[in-house]
Amino acid sequence: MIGFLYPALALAAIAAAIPIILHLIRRREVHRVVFPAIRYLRRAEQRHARRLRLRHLLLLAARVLMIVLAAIAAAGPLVGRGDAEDHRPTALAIVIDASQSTAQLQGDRRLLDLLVERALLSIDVATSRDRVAVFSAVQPGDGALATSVVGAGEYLAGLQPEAGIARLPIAIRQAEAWLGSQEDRARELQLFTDLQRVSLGDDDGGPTTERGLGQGVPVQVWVPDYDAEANGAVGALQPEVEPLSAGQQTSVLVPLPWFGPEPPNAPTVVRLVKGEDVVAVAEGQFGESALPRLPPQDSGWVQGYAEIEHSGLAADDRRFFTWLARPAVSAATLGDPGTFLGFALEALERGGRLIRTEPPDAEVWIAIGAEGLEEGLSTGMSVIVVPPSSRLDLPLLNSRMERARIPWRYESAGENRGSSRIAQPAPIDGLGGLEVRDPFTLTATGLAPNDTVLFRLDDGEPWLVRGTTIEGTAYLLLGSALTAEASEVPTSAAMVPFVDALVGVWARIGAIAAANFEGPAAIRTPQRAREIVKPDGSRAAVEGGSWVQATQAGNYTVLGDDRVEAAFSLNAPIDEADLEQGSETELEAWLPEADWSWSYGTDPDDWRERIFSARRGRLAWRPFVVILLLISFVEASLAAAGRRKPALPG
Amino acid sequence: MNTRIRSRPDLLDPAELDALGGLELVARAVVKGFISGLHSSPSRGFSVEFAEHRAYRPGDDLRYVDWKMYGRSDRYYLKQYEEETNLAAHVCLDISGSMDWRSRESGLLTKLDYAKRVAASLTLLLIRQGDLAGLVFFAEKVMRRTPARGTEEHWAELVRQLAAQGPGQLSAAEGALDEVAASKRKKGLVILISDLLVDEAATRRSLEKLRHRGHEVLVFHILDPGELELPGAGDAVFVDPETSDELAARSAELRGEYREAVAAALDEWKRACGAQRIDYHPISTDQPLALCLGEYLHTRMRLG
Repeated sequence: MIGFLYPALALAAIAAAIPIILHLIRRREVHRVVFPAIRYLRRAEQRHARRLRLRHLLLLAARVLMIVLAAIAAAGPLVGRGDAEDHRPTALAIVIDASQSTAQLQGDRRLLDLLVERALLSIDVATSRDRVAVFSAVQPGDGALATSVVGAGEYLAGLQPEAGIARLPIAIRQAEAWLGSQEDRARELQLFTDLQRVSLGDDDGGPTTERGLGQGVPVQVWVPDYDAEANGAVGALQPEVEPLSAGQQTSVLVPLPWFGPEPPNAPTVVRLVKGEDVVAVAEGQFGESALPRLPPQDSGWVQGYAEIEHSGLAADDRRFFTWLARPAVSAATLGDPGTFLGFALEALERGGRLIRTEPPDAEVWIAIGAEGLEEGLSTGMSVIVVPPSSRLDLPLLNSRMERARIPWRYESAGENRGSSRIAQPAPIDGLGGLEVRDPFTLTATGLAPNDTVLFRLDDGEPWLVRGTTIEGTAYLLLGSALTAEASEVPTSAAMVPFVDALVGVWARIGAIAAANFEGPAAIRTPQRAREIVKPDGSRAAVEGGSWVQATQAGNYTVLGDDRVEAAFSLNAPIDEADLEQGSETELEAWLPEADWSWSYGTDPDDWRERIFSARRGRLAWRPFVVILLLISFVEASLAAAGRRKPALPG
Repeated sequence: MNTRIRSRPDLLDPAELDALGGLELVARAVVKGFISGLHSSPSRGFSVEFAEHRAYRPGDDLRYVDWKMYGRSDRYYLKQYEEETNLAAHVCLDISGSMDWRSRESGLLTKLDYAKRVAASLTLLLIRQGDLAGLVFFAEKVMRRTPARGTEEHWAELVRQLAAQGPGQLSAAEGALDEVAASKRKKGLVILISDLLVDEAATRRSLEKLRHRGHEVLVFHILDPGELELPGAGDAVFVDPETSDELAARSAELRGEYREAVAAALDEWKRACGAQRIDYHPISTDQPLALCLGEYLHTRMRLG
């Protein structure tokens, strides 16, 4: 195989036509000579005509060959398989796995460092004629993160392990799609991963049977040579009661999952750390849980982490948390709450999460049948409307709501509606799926742009609506009475947490703000946010209402002008702690028609030899010049052979 | 020019010799110079009046062997007699187009001019020796024919004919030779002066016919130096002046093969003539005329 550094110069080979033309012209531009002894000449010509023609042909061939060789030498012939730098313009898609598992140490270096180092070898030999795109295996949905040689190098150099699971199939599909758009170049996909088994699946359940995916695309995979360890981790923390009540002590459930053959017999120590202080310590067995007790906290955001002794991967030995501790809510009931609601309120009061008081002193009114609704809203109270159990009372209810200028009304479907269930998933454990019998239908009667449906039934009808008045006072409209006849909710274990959230959260602040994320997440900042403090302590200015991409595990704080506006924690999904390696065939199944090549070695030269398979060959003009010179000697000899020295007659 | 050359015009370069004057003067000077160079008379042959014996040499006519001497000495001797009879010689001169050519303008005669000088000199020498000389001009046919006579006036007429005769077109030597053979019953000498660019087979057959009729034949093959060695170096189209045939060739590349072809042709003529006991002499036009006279004399002596 031969290529050219300057293919355009190869067109000079057209000059090979010159000797041919000259040859033809010269045959026509001969002079005429009168010569009597032409018969001897004819005999000589006949005798050696073949040799003459052969010499002419050889001369012509030699001259044509000389011009062709000169043109080839000038065009920069590329022979054989060149070095990695000597490749044709290539579209290179790099998929890099920076999932949490790549924080494992191999000697004194992280796997991610090895992956990046190997990927940078490819970047080093990329040329300005290449196109490079980097795809994150952890966030494949983001598409190409860098689309230039320089940009790719900078991105890779700054890459850190992310709190997420790699989705290699999705990432290589993204890369393959990008390569498919690069039709004017050679294509190559390079994948750098620790080949963790959990990274080999996608969200759709398995490899597709679609034909032609990645057909002919060379895929170079580099996997560091390491042994996956058994690994213990800290699972998602779960306070006994959430949201936390300020001033109340609570237990925190700390799962201790184990990924490996047999968990160690000795328990591990679990520490709850807030700031720099260890606030709770407990012991737990891997495969089970620990239950440290969190001391009473002041109201506000509580951030810290749970930590175990080192086991396997260090990154998952620590799990960050952010909880909101709120003071007990003062609530008043207007009308008869009924047995179950009454019990729930009493339980919450006993638990210190609620203070039952008279209506004038309360923050939240629980208005049975909308009693006192108009008054409550007009005085700035948050009002929870619990409908009556009988539909006969609906006209009075709707009348009160109309007077309070709430753009909703309750309607009864009669006996025909039947029962429904609360739609899954629900923000309160155990609430989703509970049956609601003959629910009322909440129908909007006017514009309610700020009203939101917090819960729906499985038939799509609203079950819990939160709205605000023009003055900004909140109201909650419940879709059915809290009686055992109206639904399973009052008799379920979810009743108390539901009422707790209803009174303590939704009636006051609208919704439980998500504060603990698993995997990289885009977080929308509060309107008054000005700055965000990242896990490494660095600060970055943000605009209120903008989206912030969080990728690093740790605690984040969003600051406003003079207070903390929001806080959240980011951890990798617990599945990421399973370090078991997958197999080559599992991954190849996702691009079955690609040309896969696997490498586990540490030799950089071996890697350079593998990558950029569309090589152009080594620049080799010298042999052509040598051959040219040799042929020029042959040509001179052939030409001289036809010019013999004259001999004297006789 | 050294003294010997100065006194021997027959040894001069033919082109230089031409400066002496017309054809007649040149021929006379050549013959005079040639004769003066001979040490003894050439007119010793086979005659009625016995002169001496000499040893037999292969090729000698057995009729003249002295058998009595053989009986006495057991050796062959031939009896030699004083010259007695005149020999009729016919010079057949090729005047075809190919003869009117020379390879360079200066320092060379055309083959025809050279041949004319040879013919004039030979006929003068013949007549001076008491022989008869006739002349036949031929090209594609016999163009002119003059019977053989032995007077100086006749020779002067021959010279005038030679001077006046221009070149013809094609060569057909066989016609001239056949005509001589048919018209001369008495054995004589036929001298063919030609570049032999003729129908070779037919010409050889005619020469053979002459020999069968008892004529002695002497062939002067006139060659220009440029025919012995191919001139020029580049591509050229060579044109035959007689037939206008053309041949494109590169001289430099064909020179060796051409030289071999010429050598083969000369060798073939020599072989064919030798087979018929014909004296064959290739002569280059840059060679002195004395060579031709010498060859003739050798033949004449053999004839006796």
